[in-house]
Amino acid sequence: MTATAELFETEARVRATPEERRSTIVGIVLIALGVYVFWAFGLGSGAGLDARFNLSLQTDRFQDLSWVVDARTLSILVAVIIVGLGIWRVTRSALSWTNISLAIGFGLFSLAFLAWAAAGGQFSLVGMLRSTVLLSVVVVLGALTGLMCERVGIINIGIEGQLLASAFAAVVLSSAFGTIAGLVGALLTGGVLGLLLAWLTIRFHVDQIIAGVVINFLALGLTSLMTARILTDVQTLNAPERISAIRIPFLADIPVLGPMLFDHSFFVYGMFILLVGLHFGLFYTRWGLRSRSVGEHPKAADTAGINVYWVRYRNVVLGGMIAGFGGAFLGLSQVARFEENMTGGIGFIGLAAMIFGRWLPFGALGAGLVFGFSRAVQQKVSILGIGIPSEFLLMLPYIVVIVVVAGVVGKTRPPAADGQPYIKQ
Amino acid sequence: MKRQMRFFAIFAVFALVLAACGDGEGEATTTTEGAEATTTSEAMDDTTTSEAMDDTTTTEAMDFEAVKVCFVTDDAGVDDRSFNASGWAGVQDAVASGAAQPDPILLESASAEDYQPHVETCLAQGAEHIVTSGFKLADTTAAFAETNPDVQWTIIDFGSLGPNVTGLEYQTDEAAFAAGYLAAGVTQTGIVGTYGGVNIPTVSIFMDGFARGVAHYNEVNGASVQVLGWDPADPDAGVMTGVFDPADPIVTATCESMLDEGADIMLPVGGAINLPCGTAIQSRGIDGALVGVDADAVEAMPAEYMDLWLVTIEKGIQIQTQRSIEAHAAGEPSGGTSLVGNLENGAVGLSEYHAWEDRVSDELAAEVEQILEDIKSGAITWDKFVVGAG
Repeated sequence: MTATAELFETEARVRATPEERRSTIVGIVLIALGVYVFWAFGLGSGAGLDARFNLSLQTDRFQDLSWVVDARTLSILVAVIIVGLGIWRVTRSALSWTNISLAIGFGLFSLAFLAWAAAGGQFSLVGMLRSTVLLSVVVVLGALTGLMCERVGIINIGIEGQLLASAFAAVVLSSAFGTIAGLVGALLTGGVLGLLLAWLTIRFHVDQIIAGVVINFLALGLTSLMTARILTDVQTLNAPERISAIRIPFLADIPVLGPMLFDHSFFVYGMFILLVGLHFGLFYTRWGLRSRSVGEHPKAADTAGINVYWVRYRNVVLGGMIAGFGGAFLGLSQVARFEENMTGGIGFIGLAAMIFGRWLPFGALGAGLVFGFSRAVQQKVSILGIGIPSEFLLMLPYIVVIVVVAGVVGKTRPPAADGQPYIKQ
Repeated sequence: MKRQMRFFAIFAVFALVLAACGDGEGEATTTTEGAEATTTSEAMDDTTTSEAMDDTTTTEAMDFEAVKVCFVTDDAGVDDRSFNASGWAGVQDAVASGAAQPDPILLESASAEDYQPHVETCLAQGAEHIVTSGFKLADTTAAFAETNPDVQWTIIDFGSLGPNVTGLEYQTDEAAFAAGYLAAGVTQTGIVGTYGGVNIPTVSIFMDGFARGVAHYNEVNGASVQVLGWDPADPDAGVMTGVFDPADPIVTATCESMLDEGADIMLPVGGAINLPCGTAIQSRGIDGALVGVDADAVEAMPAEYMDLWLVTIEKGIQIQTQRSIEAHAAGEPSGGTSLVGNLENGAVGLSEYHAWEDRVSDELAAEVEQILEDIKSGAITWDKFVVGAG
């Protein structure tokens, strides 16, 4: 090794790369977390108190499965693992494991927390995991909508409005003409609002944020007006048939995984299929390559002979239809009725999930599950009755979203042409 | 470009106007009125939610000097099938009993901006008794009652706001106590559950009474029925969905989660957030039941849930409104106090047993009956929710 190379080497050691610094910080966070787990949940749980996690639901084939664990032992074990992970991070080896370590750390933290909360009692772990999936569906679909649009350079703030309007269409059309009509109507409504967004931003170069906000107001205004004017009087229009769960034979009988993943309405299966399809489509097909090139560098794409406007129109409309699917889930799968402003901001959480998921389909799934999980935990903990004020618990999922988006994700890079109108010369 | 901007501006204005209209005409379903927010848009067949309560007032030929009544709804409008509808029905009962002059004035608010002008209209029309419906009108009522001391006021679901304002409040925990006892008596799993929309007194009072009723059952019968969702010793930690919107997945998740823990009798408090729970019970195939709140669930709720109702904890807004007007017409206005509805005066009560009637044994029914009597007489008492302090 020459002297110059040695010099470079020392230089590199002195000035840590951002990844190395991040690894250290994550390590310190994990060590602190581990110490906290040891103190709060390990020493905090009474000695010899068992926590019983139930692993089967009433509808399951295999009944009365459960996992009984000593809360204190588990918490101390978890604390040791988390501290170990933290020390490993501080040494800055295997940098690609930073986020995974963090995820494992927080997962174990949740486990210790639940064991502590359930010590001396029991709760349904599988019920909580099932809730997690259900609570994340709309968030994930909203994130996929945003992703479809932003990958071609159009920011879609109107996801909330698209969800709301399509939920309305799904409920009314399904009540009047049957489930199929409701589903088709929801997809079309989402698509039409996507078209409106595309038209305003591509044809008129309207600021994309403003166009999205307009769509939200439009959807809220129209649906509220029609709810008050029509649905209140003609209540048969607000009584669609509920789309019930389809148990997948055999798979649904698998303990834990079955009720969690294979006993849902087809919306949930549809979401997973969409996820895989989108991931494959975006990264392994010509369509995906063209879409991404339009989102990254529309001028270059244009020069290469890609019709930028057409690609943008197409993807934004398709994105709208994904939101339409989500809206139909809201309107037909939960209570099967429309309520004024029933989306209640979930579309914006979807937008956050897209960013947290780094504009990747499976990232969106992860983000959606984090949100769903924190809501499910919040709600489970409130039932366990360990005396945390309900107002605080209700805030928890949103705090998690803020912390995750602001702190954990770090710097993300949106598609380069995101939000830029493309004006053909 | 300029033309395009103009186009866009018109479009935006259009959207905003629609949003404003829609909001104003909206219903109570997404408001934070808790127990009062009953769904309005579901399949129902009859027109008014008349409370199935025994009319214990003596309306026979009192010396009424009929007063001119004006009724102002909150932004949910009079067709909310909830407290506005019940209050207005009470005004009409007062007309029927001769306490109110025929043709009382009804002013429906489309939004909060209407409250003040509507109250001014009432005054301009020479109303002697103004009924303001719901706690949203509290500020307006307080301000105008002070400047118009000669007019009598009644405010629904709020305490008295001045010497000339009658508050209508409800000791619903008395009936909820009996409902809790009943639920503990019929549960097969030994676990019952309750959750609310938001932790405000009009919601949590139901949950508190219910949980205490279950505890009473345990004490009397040496049983150990468990209540999920509410601990009277720790009211801050009650289980709340945070929303009154039944379509929010969190509502289903909250109910399912209690079912997962084995609950089979559920008391969800807050508008229509009990409907997803009904759906969850049905889709899980659980042999369970729901306890309704406010207005008789059999009349107020959609048909597909009919076989799920155990009983309804009722709140007599109609009768209380009538009483307040009658007191005024009889020359003894009740201003300055709250008319507190309770079991004793019949403005709070349990409905008939609904679909679960044949599951309630005669002994249990008799015990519940006895408990209702004991609460009335004071033989059973506890640290009740404070209402009517204003």
